[in-house]
Amino acid sequence: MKFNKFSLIIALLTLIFTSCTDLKEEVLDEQLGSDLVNNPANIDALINPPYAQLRRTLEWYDYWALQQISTDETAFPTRGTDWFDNGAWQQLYLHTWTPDHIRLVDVWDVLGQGISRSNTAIHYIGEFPETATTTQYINEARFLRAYYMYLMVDLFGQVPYRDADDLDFSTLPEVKDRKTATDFIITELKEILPNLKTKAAVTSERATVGAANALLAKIYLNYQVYAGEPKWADAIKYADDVISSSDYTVTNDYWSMFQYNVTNHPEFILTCPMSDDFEMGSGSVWVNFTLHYNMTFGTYTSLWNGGCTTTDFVNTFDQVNDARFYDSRIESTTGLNQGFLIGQQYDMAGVPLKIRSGDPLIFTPDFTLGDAKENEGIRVIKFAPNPATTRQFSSPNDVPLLRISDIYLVRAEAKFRNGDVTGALADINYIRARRSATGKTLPALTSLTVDDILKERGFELYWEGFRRQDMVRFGKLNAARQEKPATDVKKNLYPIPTSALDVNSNLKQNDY
Amino acid sequence: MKKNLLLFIYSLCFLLLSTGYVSAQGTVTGTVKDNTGTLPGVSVQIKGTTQGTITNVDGEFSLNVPDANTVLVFSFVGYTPQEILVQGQKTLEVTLVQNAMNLDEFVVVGYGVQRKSDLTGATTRLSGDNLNKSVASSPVEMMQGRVSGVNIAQNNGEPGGGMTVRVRGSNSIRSGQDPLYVIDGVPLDNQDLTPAGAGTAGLNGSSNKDPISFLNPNDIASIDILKDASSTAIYGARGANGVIMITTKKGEQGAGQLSYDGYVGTSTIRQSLDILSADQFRSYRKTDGSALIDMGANTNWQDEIYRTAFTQSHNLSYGGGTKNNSYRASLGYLNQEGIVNTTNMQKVNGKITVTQKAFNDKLELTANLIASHTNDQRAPISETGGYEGDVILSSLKLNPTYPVFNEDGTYYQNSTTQRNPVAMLNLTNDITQTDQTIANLTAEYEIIKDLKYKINVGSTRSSVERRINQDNELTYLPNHGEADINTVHAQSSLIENYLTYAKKIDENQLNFLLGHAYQKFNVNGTAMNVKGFVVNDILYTNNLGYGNSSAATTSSYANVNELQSFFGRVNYAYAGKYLVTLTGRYDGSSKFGDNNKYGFFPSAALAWRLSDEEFIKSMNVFSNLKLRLGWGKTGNQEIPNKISQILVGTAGNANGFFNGVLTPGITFLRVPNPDIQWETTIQSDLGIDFGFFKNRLTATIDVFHKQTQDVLLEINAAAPAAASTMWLNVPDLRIINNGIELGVNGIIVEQTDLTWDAGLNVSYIKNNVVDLPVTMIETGNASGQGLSGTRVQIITNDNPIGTFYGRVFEGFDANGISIYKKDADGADALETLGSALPNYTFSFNTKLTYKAFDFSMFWYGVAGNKVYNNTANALFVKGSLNSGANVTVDVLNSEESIANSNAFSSRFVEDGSFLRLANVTLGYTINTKSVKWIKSARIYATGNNLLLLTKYTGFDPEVNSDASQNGVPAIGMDYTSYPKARAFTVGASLNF
Repeated sequence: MKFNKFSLIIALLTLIFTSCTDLKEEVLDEQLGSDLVNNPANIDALINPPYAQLRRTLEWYDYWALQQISTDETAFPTRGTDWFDNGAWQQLYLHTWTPDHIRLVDVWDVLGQGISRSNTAIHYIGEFPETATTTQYINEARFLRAYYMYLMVDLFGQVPYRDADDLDFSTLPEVKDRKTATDFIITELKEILPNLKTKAAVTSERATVGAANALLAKIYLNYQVYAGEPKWADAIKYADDVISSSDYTVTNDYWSMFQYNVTNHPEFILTCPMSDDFEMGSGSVWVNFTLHYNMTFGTYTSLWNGGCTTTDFVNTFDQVNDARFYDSRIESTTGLNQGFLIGQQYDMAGVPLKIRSGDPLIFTPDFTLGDAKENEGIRVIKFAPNPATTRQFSSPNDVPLLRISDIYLVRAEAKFRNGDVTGALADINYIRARRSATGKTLPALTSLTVDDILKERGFELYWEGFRRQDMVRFGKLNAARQEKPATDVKKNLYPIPTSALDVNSNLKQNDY
Repeated sequence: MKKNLLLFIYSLCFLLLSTGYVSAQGTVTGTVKDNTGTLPGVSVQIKGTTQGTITNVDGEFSLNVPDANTVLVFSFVGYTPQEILVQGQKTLEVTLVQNAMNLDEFVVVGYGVQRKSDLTGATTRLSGDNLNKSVASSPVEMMQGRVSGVNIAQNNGEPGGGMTVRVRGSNSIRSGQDPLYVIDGVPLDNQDLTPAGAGTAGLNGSSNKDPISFLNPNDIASIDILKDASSTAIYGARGANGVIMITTKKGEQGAGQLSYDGYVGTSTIRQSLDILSADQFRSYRKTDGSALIDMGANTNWQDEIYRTAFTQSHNLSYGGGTKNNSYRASLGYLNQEGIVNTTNMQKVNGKITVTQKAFNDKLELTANLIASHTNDQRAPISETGGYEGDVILSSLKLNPTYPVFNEDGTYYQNSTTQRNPVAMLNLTNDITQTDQTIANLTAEYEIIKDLKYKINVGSTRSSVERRINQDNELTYLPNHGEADINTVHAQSSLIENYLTYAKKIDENQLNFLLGHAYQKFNVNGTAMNVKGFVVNDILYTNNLGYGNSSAATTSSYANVNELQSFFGRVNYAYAGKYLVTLTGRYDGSSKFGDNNKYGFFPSAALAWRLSDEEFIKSMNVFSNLKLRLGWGKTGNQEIPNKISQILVGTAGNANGFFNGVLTPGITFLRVPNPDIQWETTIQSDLGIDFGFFKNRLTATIDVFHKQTQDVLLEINAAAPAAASTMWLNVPDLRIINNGIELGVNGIIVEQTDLTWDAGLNVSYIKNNVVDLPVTMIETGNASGQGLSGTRVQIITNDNPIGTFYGRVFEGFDANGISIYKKDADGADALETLGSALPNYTFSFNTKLTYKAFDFSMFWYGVAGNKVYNNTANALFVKGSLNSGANVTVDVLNSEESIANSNAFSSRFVEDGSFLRLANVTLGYTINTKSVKWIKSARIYATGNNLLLLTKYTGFDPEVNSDASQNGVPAIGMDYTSYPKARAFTVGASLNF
């Protein structure tokens, strides 16, 4: 009996001590290792995330929405019980946003992540033994950081910044004001220019000399807005550099850029590559939100009947001669045309479509912002969908972030504002000469006003996420228009989201 | 001669008995019973002597008594002792009454049991009649409404659907607010075992089951709910949300006894919503005078999807024992049809418990094995679905002039946004098979006198597989038929070693506990989706090869975590009047950051049994009066895995085409924080227990103050940071719960033929958030058309958790457009609109027994809370009707314009107070005296959810649709929830 007692105590002590653990967390389904970022073999995987973040800037409800829905190109009217969405879309159109606006919160995060991911690439690739590749990649990452900062400058007028080698995230990031940030971006772009490759060497999916020049041209064009002084000559210089390189061509087929199977199109300077062969994680398909519920085709069964464009904008077009207004090449596979969708809509077999209550589906030019009927508002299809896609929410389209016609128009505008009207007309007509509808001629302009330039930018670049920046530069953003009263000039900047102010006291709220 | 004499005396006695004479006595025989049947093991003693016997397995006894004035004392644990003057009776039939008010009952505490009179903490014990028994498919339902301070809400009416359990309020901002469940000493992991659903048609993964749903309610002997910190601190980092201790039934001493419990019943929807009939729908005219689409049919879509559902349950148990061992085995079967067509839950449970004493009772072994298999057939019912609609949504909004079938017999399916709910139900096959086992073995050995060592080894294992088939015939599927196979596997193992020492020296009673525990949890899961099936005859999940494998998606995960703990407790009592309890637990978890691996969780409690003091005794008022005071610190370690660790890796949104090839992207996905720790809750409790009239009337009042700090939150990092969010224990933030709990129980009438008792529970809890470092945290994602990006609930300073926030609706203007309260700038003012947390929860129960009949009734309710009627917000507005969707009759008649948007506002935040008649039972105990093979029999009829008093306009205000945002759960959300049933059952309990 005694023996039993002791053996039991020993057994118990053994159990206690053998079951002791150091409680080190064992991770089974994630490779935590910081060795991933310290392995030079992973260099491609390290430069990838800041590129991938570009897709987030194309989500229709985020960055794109902020640049489009506050303008005359795009409206998301509330349609009875649909699309009120806590007032988010009406507020964007009417410029009545507040710092808690759900889209501001998201976009701030998207752009902040873009800067962070660029920094991560710059820092860790910088730790590798220096080679031509590491230098080039670091410069590409610096380009991308400059690009995200530029978007923040444009929307918010302030940029939180930290050095790539500053890994102490417990300190608050410094905040660059609009001019400081703009000058910083320009200095960065000029520094990296010599080390970037050409489009011929690396395609438009990478940061190239052409992309850096194009971005510089665009920043100088907006320098008066960003920093209060004109820099037209600089804008012309960098636009010249892009145009004079042999890498880019304005083609005669405008819609060839907007098909779903395009890669490395000659007009593209910087491209965001996407594919519906994979689950891409982000990046929008731009047909769902605008098409009526009943316009289903192929595998597109979920359509949301949302955004449309304004009559004011549509009426600026030469609807007969301008190829950019209408194209029918996808009608046989989708029932849709590209460009503007007006009037009775049909399915692929040519049968007229109906709205949910049984009335005909006729898109009308007018809409009421707070109370639009199902069929109100002209719809826009810029990028062609892949009707057989198995991933309805992975875009099949490569989307240009910078393209050559934009740079021609940048140069035209800079020349015009710099007093060279003839030079401006030449650039604009160079584009127009390549944009005639089949069997028609889009007439060249013989005279030029500042409004003509804004109009031409609209014809060429509508629904591609540039409109707000343009309207600010032309002083038109705040004007009264269809369904919107005039608003204060302070609406040219968005407020800093409350959630960002909460965590960084260096940020100062804009007057909104 | 003597025998003859005895015979003579007996005969004489018999004669005298009828005339009331008293005479000398001999042997008395008899049977002891309670209201359910005969009672074995009852002590029968001659008063004033040590002579006596105990009743045999049939409850019979035989005893020699000295004379006619002999008084026999019948006593049994848990029953009021009864004294009977023999007075010449030869056979006695004694009925003992269960003593629910017995102060000397034992209650289960962490790592032991205690006499209730020695208790210093706030705990509530439920057993026997206190448990909701009828039609409880999960043990959690057995507690609902029974315990003050514990709010239990059924999330929806799906068979086996989840329950939300909150002990003394909401302690956290995140999920992980469920209490710790301990079954026979084995703490369970609150792991979500519901595999993911499927993408299309809202077959989502919510409606999680509670972690003890696999237990058979029939196997449960008692449930002890530990509420205050001095009771739960022994569970340290898992004690903050309260602890629920479940004790299962064991065999009782005596010959083997076979019992059967079973019921059959029907259930129906309590009340369907009052939507337009086909004719009412036809009568509507649009502004241009035209009618809505009329397909000519008259379909009541609600009638098409709901049914009268059939439920049956059968439970058999066999148990018995001797002085040294006991055994009990049970088998249960439940088949519960849901009121929505095709939904069903089948559950088979088995349980075996054996105990054995050895070495002169020094060693006691207990082994427990519980196994269950559940088969859930679910329907496309989602809580967060898109506007296209799940079954419930479609049944409410679909045009009632649409037919169910086309003329050729196929389903009429109008479009992807107007789905036929009957087709959805019949062409979807969603089956979840769950196998769960829990096994544990404990050995207790008395090493020396008063010093005992106990080891508890346990293991739990769950294996869940969900197979979903969506038939090609469903036209809303984007890519033909779909199949999903999703699994979750979880297991845990436990080893506990502890020593207990009990010593009484004069008036000083000392108890010590010292122990170590280690528990390890593993969980892994897989998900697989294949689309593109065009075959019709087989279940796609049986052969995924028929699908389009290039359109397949797969994923999996695996997590492991460990807990190690050292714990101790000292109980000291002086003269049974002054009681002190001190506990401490040193708890470590692998989930905590490297700088905070272990936390210390102490508690202290004092109690004073005033009723044992002469000055109280002399008042002759109180039969029990005890004052309790407790303080303690507990933790909540239900934090996500891995959040203290850095994560550098690849993510879908970091992948991209690089040089034309899809290349992974490596980036920071999570920033490390080695300081991550548990959330800490500090709680003080002051309680008073009263007993009056020999404890026929008892009451308990507790006042508590509970403060949670170190609240864990994922907040936005200051961009640019490595990752966009970071986890931290927010430094200043506190969540405060203040409350008062009252429980009153009384035996109003206690006579041989008639007893009547009643109980009342009321609790008041005020929740408040203080020093939140950000302006607000948004949650409560509204669902439905026009409500994207609408978050209806916030967590903000000086408001309770679950506060609704939005526009203030002030009626319609002359044009039928909503008027909202404006702020100083003329914009719509955004204000707090009340909280989903109730201020008051209450319940009332009563039981009446008259001769063989028993009748009981149970009510419960809440008051002061709001519920967001998301269903109405999404569907029941005029514009919806105008575009061809069905609405409620109110909407047809309202002044609202068809142009009015369905903006979220106080219009859809409704009063969620309710009072429910949850249960009425009428029972009859059959006289089985004449039937040899049956010991006792009771039959009963029960009605559940008979009456609901509420102003809420949806199906039921007791609802909790999942509408969380970034891991912050919302409460009081109602979106197309599975409605709760009203049920009628008849059942029988038989003992053989």
